Amino acid sequence: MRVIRLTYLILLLLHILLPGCTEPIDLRSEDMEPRLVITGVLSTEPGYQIIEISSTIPYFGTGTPVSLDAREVRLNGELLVRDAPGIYSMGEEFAAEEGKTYVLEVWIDYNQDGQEEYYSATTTVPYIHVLETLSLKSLVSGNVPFLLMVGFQDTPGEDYYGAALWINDVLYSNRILRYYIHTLNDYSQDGSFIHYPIPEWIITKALPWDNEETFDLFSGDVLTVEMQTLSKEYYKFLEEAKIEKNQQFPLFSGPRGNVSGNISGGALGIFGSYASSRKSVTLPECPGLPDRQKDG
Amino acid sequence: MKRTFTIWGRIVIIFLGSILGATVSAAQTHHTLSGKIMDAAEGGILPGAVIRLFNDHVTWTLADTKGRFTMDLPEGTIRLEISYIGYQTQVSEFLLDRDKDTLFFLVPQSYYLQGVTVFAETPAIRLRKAEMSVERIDVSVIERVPTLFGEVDLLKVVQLLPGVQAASEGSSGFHVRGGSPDQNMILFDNTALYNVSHMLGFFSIFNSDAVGNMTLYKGDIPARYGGRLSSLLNVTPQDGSGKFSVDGGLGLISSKLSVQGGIAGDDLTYLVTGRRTYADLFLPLAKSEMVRNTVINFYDLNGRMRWRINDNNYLYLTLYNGRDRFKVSEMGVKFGNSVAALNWNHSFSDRFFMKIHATYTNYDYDFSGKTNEMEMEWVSRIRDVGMRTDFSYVLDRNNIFEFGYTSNFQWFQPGKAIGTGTMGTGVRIQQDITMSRRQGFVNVLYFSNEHKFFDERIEFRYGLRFTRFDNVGPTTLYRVDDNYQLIDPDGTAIPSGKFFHHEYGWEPRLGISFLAFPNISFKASYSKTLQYVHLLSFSSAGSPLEIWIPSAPSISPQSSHQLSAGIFTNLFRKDYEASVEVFYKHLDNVLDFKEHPNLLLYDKIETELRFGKGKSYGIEFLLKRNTGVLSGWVSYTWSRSFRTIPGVNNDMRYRSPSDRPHNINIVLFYDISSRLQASLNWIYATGKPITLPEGRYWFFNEFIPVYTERNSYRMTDYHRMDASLTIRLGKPERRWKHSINISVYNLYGRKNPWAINYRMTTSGEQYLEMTYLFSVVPSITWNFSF
Repeated sequence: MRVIRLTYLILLLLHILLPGCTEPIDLRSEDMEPRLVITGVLSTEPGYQIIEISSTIPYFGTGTPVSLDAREVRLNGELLVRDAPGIYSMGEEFAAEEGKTYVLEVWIDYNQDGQEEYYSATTTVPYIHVLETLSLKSLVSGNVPFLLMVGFQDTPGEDYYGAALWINDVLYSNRILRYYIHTLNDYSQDGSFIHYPIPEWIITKALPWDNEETFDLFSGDVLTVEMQTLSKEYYKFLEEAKIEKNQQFPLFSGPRGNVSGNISGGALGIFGSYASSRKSVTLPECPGLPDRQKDG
Repeated sequence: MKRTFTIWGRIVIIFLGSILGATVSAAQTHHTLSGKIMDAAEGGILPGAVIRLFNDHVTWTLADTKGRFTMDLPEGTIRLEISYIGYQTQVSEFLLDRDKDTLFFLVPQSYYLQGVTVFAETPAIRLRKAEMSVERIDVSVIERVPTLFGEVDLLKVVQLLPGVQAASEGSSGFHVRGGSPDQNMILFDNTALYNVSHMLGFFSIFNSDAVGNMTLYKGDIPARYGGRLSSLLNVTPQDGSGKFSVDGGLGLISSKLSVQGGIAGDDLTYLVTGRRTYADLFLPLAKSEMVRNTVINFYDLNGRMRWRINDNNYLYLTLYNGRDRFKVSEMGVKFGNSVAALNWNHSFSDRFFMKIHATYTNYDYDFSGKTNEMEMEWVSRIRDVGMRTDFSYVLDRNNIFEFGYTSNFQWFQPGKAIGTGTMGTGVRIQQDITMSRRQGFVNVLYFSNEHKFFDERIEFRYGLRFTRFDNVGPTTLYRVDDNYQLIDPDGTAIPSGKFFHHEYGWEPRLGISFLAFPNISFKASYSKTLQYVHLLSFSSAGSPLEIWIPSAPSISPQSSHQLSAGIFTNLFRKDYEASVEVFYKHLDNVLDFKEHPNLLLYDKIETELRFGKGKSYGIEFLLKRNTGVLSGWVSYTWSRSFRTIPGVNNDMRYRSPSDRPHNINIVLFYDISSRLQASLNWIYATGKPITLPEGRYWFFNEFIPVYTERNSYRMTDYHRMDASLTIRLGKPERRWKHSINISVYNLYGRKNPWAINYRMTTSGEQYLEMTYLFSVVPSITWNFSF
C-alpha cells in the first residue's frame, strides 16, 4: 500500500517538474490476427456468475468484442448453460465455496480447422477476511475530503486484497481503474489487525467518472465497501491490467507487455476468484457536501 | 620577399645570439640540463617539443625522436618554457646548480591554428595511433556548441559524436553503439560516477569551467580501464593556470564563477569553481502560496589543486560536491554527488613512472513527503571507494609497457523507505521497507604494451585485464532457480564482512594500426569487457531515483565482445579528417526485465530480471575539419541493436531500446569576425523503438491491450536544429574580457516525442498522444573574465 502511495507522490512531483505539452500523434499499429479470450471470475457472493468467450479485435478502431460459442464449457465437470452468444453461466444464485478449487474447461474450434481445441484453467477460492470496521476519516476536521478507513484481521502469509465501492447501491468501481488492489505479504503488519485508509477514493462532493464527468455525492449517501480477498492469479492479472491502463510516465513503468493470464492452450484472459465481505457507512452532513433534498 | 628576409633574419639572429651567448657565458659556470618531454595524460613521449629559456628567442632546442633534449646552461635560476603542438605550454622554474636530468610533463590541450579546436589531437597523431573508436574533445568545443537554457553541457556534446545517441530529449544519458546508458563508465579524475544528472538530466554535473578535456572510448577501451560494456567517458579536470584570474557567466536560470591562481609560483595552483541555478529566487514574488514556497535549484562546486613537489613528484587533489533540491508544498527530493580524488604522479626515472589514485564517490537521494496523517522518507545511497596504481615503463620510443592494479569497494543501499504517522488510525505507527544493503569488492590486475614497428608505420597494442568480483556481507541473499522462482522466499542472512560469492574474468584488448600511405591508415581492434554493476531502471527520463545493484549469485556479470575496423585519412593538407569505422558487438548475460516488473523498493529483485544475449553492429562515417574559419564535423551512423532474452518477447529476438538505425550529426562553427562566432548543429535520428498493442479485449469494462512483439514500432523520427551566436565585447588587449552568448535550442520548434500516451475519444476510439518537452528554447548568457 505504501509503495503505491510513494509512487503517487513521485508521479505528482514529476508531473509538476515536467511541464511537457501533449498533442495527438499520427501513429498506429497493424491489426493482429484475432486470438481467443476466455474470462471468468468466481465469487463467494451469491449471484449471476458467468464465463465469457470472445475474440480480440484490432486495437485502433471502434469495433466491439466478438462473442464466440464453444461446443462445451464445464466447471468442475458440470456443463454450463449458454445464456447468450459467448456467455455461459452457473445459474442465478451461484456462490463459490471458500478454499475450493475450481477447474474450467472449454472445447471450441476457434481456428475453424474442423478440430476442437481444448482450453482449461484452475482457481482456488481464498478464505473470507471479514471487513470488521468501515469509517470515514476527515482530512480537514469534520469536512471533506474524507478517506474510507477499513479494518480487518489479516492472516499470516501472502494475501491479496481488492476493494470495490458502491454508492447508494450503484457500483462505482465498475472499471479496473476505479477498483483498488493491494497485497500484504512482506510487511511488519502481516498477520495482525489491519486498519488503513484506501487511497484510491478521496471522498469529496464529486468523484471522477467516465468521459471527464463526475459522480456527485451528497450527505446521507450510503457508501458500501466490498472487501475482496483475491486469488493470486486474479490479483496478478488485475495488477498488470491496472499498470497497462494507467501507464503514462516512463519513469517507473516498464516496457509494455501482455497481461498475464492463466488459461492454458494459448488463449488470453483470466479465470480467477475472490471471497468478499461488505460494510457500509453514511456520509455525514458537513459544509463541503450538498444535501440531496436541497441541491440534488 | 619579406617572408624570406624574416626567416633568414631569424637564422642570423639565432646564429649571432648563440655565438654571443657562448661568448658571454664563457665566463660563467655551466651545467648540463637534460630531460625528457612526456604526455601528462597518457605517458607517451613528445619528440619535437620545443624547449627554450623563458622570453628568450635565442636559447632553444628540440626534443629528439626519443623525446629527449640536452642544453648547456649557465648556473642559476632557470625559467624554461616547453611547448608542443596540441599541449599546454609549460613554464618551469628551478635552480640549476649541477648537471640535471629531469622529466617534463605536458598537459594535452588543443590543436588549433585559428578558429576552434574540434578534436584535441593533431590529425597526424590520430592517424598513427593503434587506438580507434576514440574521440577527444577540448573544453573550447564544448563551450561553443549551442546550449539548452544557456548552460554549457559536456554530455550534450558527447551526444553529437558518431555512434552516440541521446537516451531521450534533453537527457544526460546516452547510448553508445547500441548499449544502454548504464553501460557507460563515466570517470571524473579516475573516479566512477553513477548518476551525472542535474534536473532530470537537462544538465549534467560537469561544469565546463572545471573540465580540461574529455575522451570517449566507444569500444576500444585501454586495458587500464573497464567496468562497463559499452564505453568509457574519461573527464579530466582543469588545472588552475597559476595566474590569478576570475571567470564568470550570468545566464537566465543559472550563473557560475571560477577563480584560479598559483601559490609559490606555478608549483601550487588552484582552481575553484561553482554554479547555481536561481530560477526559484523569483518564486517568492508569485501570488500562489504553493508556488512561493516551491524550491527548485541545483548547485555544484569544484575544486582542483596541483602541487609540484619536485620534478619527480606531483600531487593532484580534485573535489566535487553538487546537489539538486526540489520541493513543492510538503513534498521534495534532494539528490547529488560528492567526489574526492587524490593523485600522486611519481617518476622513478626517465623511463619508469607511477600514478597512484585514491578515489571516493557518493551518490544519494532523499525523497520525502508529508501530510497531516503521515510522513515518509525514501533514501538511497551508493558509495565507491577505490585505489588504483598505474605504472608506465618506456622501454624505448617504440615500446611502452603499462601495468597496474585497481581495487574498489562498492556499497549500495538500493532503497530504504520509512513512513511514520497515524495514517488516520489515531495510533502512531512506523513502517519501513528496506532493501538489503549490497556490497561488491572489485579487484583488477592489468598489463598492456604499445609496440611500433617499421618506422612507426605499424603500431600494435595489446593488453589483458584480470578482474575478480566478490560479494561481501551483510546482506540478505536471494537466489532464484532456472524459472526465476525464489529458492528460499525469506532469503539467507549473510553476516557482515563475509565474502560469500565471487566471479572472475579475463578481458583481452587488442589493437593494430597500419599507416599504409602518408595520409591513410587502417586500424582494427578487439576488446572484451565485463560489467559487475547493473542499473535497475528503464527510464530514459534522467531520473535521480535510480537503483544500482552489484552482481550476485543469481545476477551474472554482463560481458561484451567488440570487433572494430576502420579506414582513417587526412585530406587537403590535413585540414580535414575522414574516417569509416565498422563494428560488431556481442553481449552475454545482458540484462532486461520481465514484463510488468516490480522494481520499486522490491528486495527480491532477482525474480524480476532476465538475462540473455544481445548484438549490435553498424558503420560510422565521419568528416571533420579541425581548423579554419569554418570548422566542425559531419557524421552519419547506420547501426542496429537487438536482444534475445529467454522470458522476454516469447523468447524471440527484439529491438533493443537503442536500436535507431540512422543517425546524422552536423556540427558547424563559423568565425564571422574576431568578435562574432556562430555555431549551428542539426541532429537526426530514427525514432525510438516502442511497443504498441495490436489487439484488445474486454474485461471489467476496460479494453485490455494485446501485444505481439516488444519494440516492434517506432516513435516518429527525431530531429532538431540549434544555433548560437557569441559576441565578444570590449577590447581584446584588456585584461577584462566579456562576451554574450545567444543560443536557440530547437530552432524550428520540432515537436519530438518524449513519451507516448494512450487516449480514447468519447466515442470509444483509441488514439495515441505524444508528450514533448521543448519547443523553441532561446537563452542568453553573459560571460566575463579578468
